[in-house]
Amino acid sequence: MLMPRKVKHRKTHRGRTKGRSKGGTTMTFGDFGIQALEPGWITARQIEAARIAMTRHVKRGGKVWINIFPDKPVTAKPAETRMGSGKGNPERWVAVVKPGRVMFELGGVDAELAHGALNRAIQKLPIKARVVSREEAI
Amino acid sequence: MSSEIKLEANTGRDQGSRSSRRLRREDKIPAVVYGQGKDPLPVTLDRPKFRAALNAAGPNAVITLDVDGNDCLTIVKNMQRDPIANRVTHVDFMLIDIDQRLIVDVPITLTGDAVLVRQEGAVVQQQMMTLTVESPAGNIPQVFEADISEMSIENPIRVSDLEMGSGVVPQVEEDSLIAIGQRSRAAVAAEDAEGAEATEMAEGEEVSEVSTGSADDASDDAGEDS
Repeated sequence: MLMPRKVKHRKTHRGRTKGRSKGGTTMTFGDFGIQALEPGWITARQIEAARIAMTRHVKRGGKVWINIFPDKPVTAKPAETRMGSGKGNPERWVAVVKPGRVMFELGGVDAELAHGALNRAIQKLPIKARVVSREEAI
Repeated sequence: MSSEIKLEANTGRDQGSRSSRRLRREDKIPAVVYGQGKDPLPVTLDRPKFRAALNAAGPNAVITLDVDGNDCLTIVKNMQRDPIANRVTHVDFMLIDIDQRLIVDVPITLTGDAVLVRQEGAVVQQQMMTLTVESPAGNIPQVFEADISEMSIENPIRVSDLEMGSGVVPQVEEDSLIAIGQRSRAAVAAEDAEGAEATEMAEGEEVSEVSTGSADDASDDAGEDS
């Protein structure tokens, strides 16, 4: 799974996710992609699940690009622990996503296969998303 | 090559985000016209007409703007879009002279079926989506078409393979790559696993009859990898 090699701070604040994505809203590498329509945290497991769903559907052929990286640590307290005694331990890594962000891209396959693969990948994500293609209407 | 189209633009719009948002709600697009040493002029366009014009003529079309009765020759210099609705939110028009040479980005499309690349277990990857060219204003190519039917991994498509119109000069090096054939990691890993399996089989026949399941495991893992 994706995670940073080293970080400056082990624990971070949760923060707020306001507004739309400032960058990464257009297709850069592939012909088809998944665009976020809601803000949310995508965990490294979800990214991996989406990638596997895509690559299994396209079988051999096609190329997948992952444009998001889970660089935010999320902490959790152990089960059945009394409140207090400080912040919990880092448990997982998430990528913060805002609406408009193109999270995954897929190239080298035809439109039907790409839509099938990307729709399967969307099922693995915790937010509303849609399939976008490079051919854009004005 | 680009065709000439005519659009009506109205002046006298209020500037600022609030009035621009009101205009967009009325299916209009706020725009600005500038260039040739003149002061920038804020104008308003009708969205359906603009969309129809650009869909028909392409992004690098020479547009004759009818600004309150005065005809101005322009091209679309920049277009801002809403990333979610994919609607045009603002347009920059640049005033031009028809004899002027312009530097524009022309989209590249791939045509044909890359049979050789597919046979080698690879996929076509387009490295360059637009090509920056210098061209006379009246002769801007709408699109460059690159034929990939005879391309292979060893012979990628380069800028020199494109057909340029008269007076069109690319602004990048001639050997810059447009499309390449690239083998996925899964295909490479699967082949390596098959090669390893074949080697083990050959050694097993000569030395002993000990068999291992590592090659099969390797190919299963490779299937999951992109």
